Amino acid sequence: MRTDIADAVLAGLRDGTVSKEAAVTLLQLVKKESPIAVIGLGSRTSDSDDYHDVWRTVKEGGSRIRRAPLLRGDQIAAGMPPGTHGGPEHNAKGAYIEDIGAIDKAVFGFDDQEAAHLLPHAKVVLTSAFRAVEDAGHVGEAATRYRTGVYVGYNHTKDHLQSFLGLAMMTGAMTDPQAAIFGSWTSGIATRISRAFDFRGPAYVIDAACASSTTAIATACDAIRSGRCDVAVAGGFYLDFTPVKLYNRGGLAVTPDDASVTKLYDRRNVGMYTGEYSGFAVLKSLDKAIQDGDRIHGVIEGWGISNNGSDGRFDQNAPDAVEQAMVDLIRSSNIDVDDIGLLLGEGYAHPMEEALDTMGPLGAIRRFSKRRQFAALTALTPNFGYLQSAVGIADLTVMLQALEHRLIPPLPHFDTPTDLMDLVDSPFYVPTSLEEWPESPNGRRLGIIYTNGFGGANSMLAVSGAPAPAPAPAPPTGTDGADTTAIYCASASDPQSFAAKLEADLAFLDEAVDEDFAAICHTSATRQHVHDGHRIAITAGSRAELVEILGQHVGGELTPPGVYLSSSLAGPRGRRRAAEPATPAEAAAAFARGGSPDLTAFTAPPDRRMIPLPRYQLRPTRSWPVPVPAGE
Amino acid sequence: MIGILFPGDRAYRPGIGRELHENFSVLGPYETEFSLQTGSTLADTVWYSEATAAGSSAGAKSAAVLAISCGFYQTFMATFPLPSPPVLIGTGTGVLAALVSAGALELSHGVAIALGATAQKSWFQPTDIAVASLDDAVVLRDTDDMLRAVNAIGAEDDDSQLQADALTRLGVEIALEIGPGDTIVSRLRPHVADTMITGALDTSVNAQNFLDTVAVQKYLNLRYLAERALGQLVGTRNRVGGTEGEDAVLVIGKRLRQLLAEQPLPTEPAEALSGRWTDAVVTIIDLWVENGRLKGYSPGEITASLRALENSTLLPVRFLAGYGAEPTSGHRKKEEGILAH
Repeated sequence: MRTDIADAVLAGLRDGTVSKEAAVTLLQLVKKESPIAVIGLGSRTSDSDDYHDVWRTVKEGGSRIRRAPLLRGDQIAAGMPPGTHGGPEHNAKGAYIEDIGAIDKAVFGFDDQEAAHLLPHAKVVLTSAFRAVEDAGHVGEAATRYRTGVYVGYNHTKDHLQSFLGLAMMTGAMTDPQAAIFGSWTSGIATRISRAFDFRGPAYVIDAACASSTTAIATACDAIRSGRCDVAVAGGFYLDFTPVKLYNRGGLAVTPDDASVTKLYDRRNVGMYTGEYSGFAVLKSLDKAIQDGDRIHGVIEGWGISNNGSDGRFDQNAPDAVEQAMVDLIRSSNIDVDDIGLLLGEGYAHPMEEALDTMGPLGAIRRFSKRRQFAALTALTPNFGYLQSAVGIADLTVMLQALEHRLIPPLPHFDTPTDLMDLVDSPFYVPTSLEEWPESPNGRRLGIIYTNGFGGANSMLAVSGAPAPAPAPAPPTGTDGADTTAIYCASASDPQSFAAKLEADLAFLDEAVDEDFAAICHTSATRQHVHDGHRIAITAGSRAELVEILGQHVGGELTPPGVYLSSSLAGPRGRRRAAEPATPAEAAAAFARGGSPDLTAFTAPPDRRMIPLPRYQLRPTRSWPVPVPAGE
Repeated sequence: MIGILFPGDRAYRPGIGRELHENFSVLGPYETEFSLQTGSTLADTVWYSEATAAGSSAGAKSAAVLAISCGFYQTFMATFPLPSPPVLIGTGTGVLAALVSAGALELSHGVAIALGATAQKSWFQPTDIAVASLDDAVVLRDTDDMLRAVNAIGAEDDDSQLQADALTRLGVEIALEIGPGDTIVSRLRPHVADTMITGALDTSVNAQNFLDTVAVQKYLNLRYLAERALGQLVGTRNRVGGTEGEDAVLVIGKRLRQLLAEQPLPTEPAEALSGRWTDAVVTIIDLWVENGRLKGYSPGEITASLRALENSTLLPVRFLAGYGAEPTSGHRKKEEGILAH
């Protein structure tokens, strides 16, 4: 809320110059002024670091649940009792990340020793955070003027069974104890993101059990609204470091056997599997996002964090307390419950617990609307397993894409409803197939994300779709004599990624529209991660000219006219800021040499828009402590 | 007539049949035979090593699909005891799986042919189970036919209309793809007659669906049909709203729960196809249709939901309930009002 205006309204109310009705209206308007825009998304799941794959899986009713990779069994072997690891029969079933030891060392600046000892949690987090800030274009010059916070939700309870550091010790690989301990520094899971991108705002890890990532996002929204930071990278992750049957046995809603299927809200609900996920959203206040020309995925209209207090058991939800917390969210966010089209729930697949998890939101919505079966109720557990501390960020990633495509995704395997609650007599229905997300009677689409953790932690978000983008300015013609020269930039940490980036950009530019030429160049020059190893800058007056020049370069001509390459330029190198270049050619040359010239100035304000460009090709290599041979 | 469809080697991809392997023991003999003849394992060729799988020969991949298809068939037959044997229909190298599953070809010979051996007439033997080739709509009546069909195996035909017509010519009313993935029926669905049921036991997008179908015994199960109708009530958005319609939907829920409590609906396929439970099916489907109507769904959408129901239960519910292809256009009880009963 804008406290300055709110204070003035309240003062007017007190002295009688503002009526009560007007005050309410004004406060609601003020509150509406500062929702939080989501401008970037990144994820890391079983075999993908592309958040579009998350949506694809959910949209198709697919599942990533299968036996944990054999590689994981090899990685944790040193810490496992004999006879409990090695073959597929020892590995638990769930949705597991293929290689949690993989990291692009060159991009993040790790040497072999550092990379090997870096906590796999941090590796997975860094990769997904890289994708999120890349998607937002919140890197390079565009990020430097903002104070950026990092909020990482994570619950590490199961790591007490077997820590990565303990494993390294048992492997006999602690040849460099300092690297091993620093690599496992738990707060580093958040602060390494700040270091990688030079973010100067708050950075910390948040543990609210299964509500962790939602709590991190809500905390970040609070921080942006209060001015503690301007932009936030917020989300979280869950790693089940030791996915072996020895540990993942029945109890805590785990399925009784591997032939069981996760059936939420179903009379045959027998439990669930564990899932691993890491994901982040990049958040900024909506007005700034619009001002900066960001690509907006959607808007967080409201958020809430609470605890059930002494209600309920430690491991059981308390519907009355949740209902009140959600009523508070509805009132404080000024949302109309009739706009709710989708509620992504906790997805904890225990017959009684899922009913308790549902009764709170159900009761809250009923207080405001008696309509039945207008909002879809679903969760991601059948698709990705139970994601524990990462449920909220996975939900947000799916919710925003559902809003973008105006589709309600199906809940796989639901077909015969539970007797423990009557959803026919509720605001909810359980979607069984992909369907259109219709507008509410108010012409809106609103989604609710609700997560709950052991100990009574509640976190919830109210999310709506992106506002219509501003129309692109007319394409530059050059006929009026105005200079249309723009600077295209690309960089990479290794030659293979450099070549891949240029080829992908060339294909993208070939298909792009002329209206976006200046914005594409602006994005490439000011909103991409700047690597030191390999750089190129090209000056061109039009999209066609840029395609021609870049095509010549990719085709083998090293330095066609207009091309400035890091490998072919003499002169002082490095990031130090020299005198600001006066012409595009000078700026391009300075960038290629390794400098940090002010490139924003070369784009007219209307064209300072974020255009999502082809993703950087990360080249992760397997980095894991190597056993020291006996006798050494 | 129920036709079981066996896909050819086009169904191969890393990971196929992994849930079958990990949760059922039927694949044991197939794994042994596969290893004997290829020197590799199904674990390496299919399940646990994508790198090794990618390097496998085309013959090994064909043999893997054959083995896994036969395993799916055994699991299906053990779970869903049909009152009369289905006809086994193969396309491409799926003909081998059909012949092996019918007992007309020894497993060892089937694997050998998949790996490139020339078929011998003495390898085939007559069987009571009908086997057919989808590619030319021919029933393989004797060992000469079988040899000819196997020798004619070439590239899989992907003319969907031709294959859909072949199913009709073979007299198939319920077509269930049994091999890994759903490579055939997903392609044929738009081309078959509206009344033909086209199911798939395994699906490529979600391997858990196979486990779910088997665990719940979804096929030809009238008790599941009634429970599924309750699921339809919970699973459809109310587009219309309004207290009157919403209250009517609540009454449908009560009627279905009452039916489930009072009727000992059978779970066996033979009972489902016996015709003895027509009244219950009529009630269930009437309530299904009424739910759709009350919530604002068009006749076409309701028909589509019933077709999907038929494909997932293998029950010809529209036929059993006495409807034509379009239940809501020629609704028997449209004027009477179902809730008045």
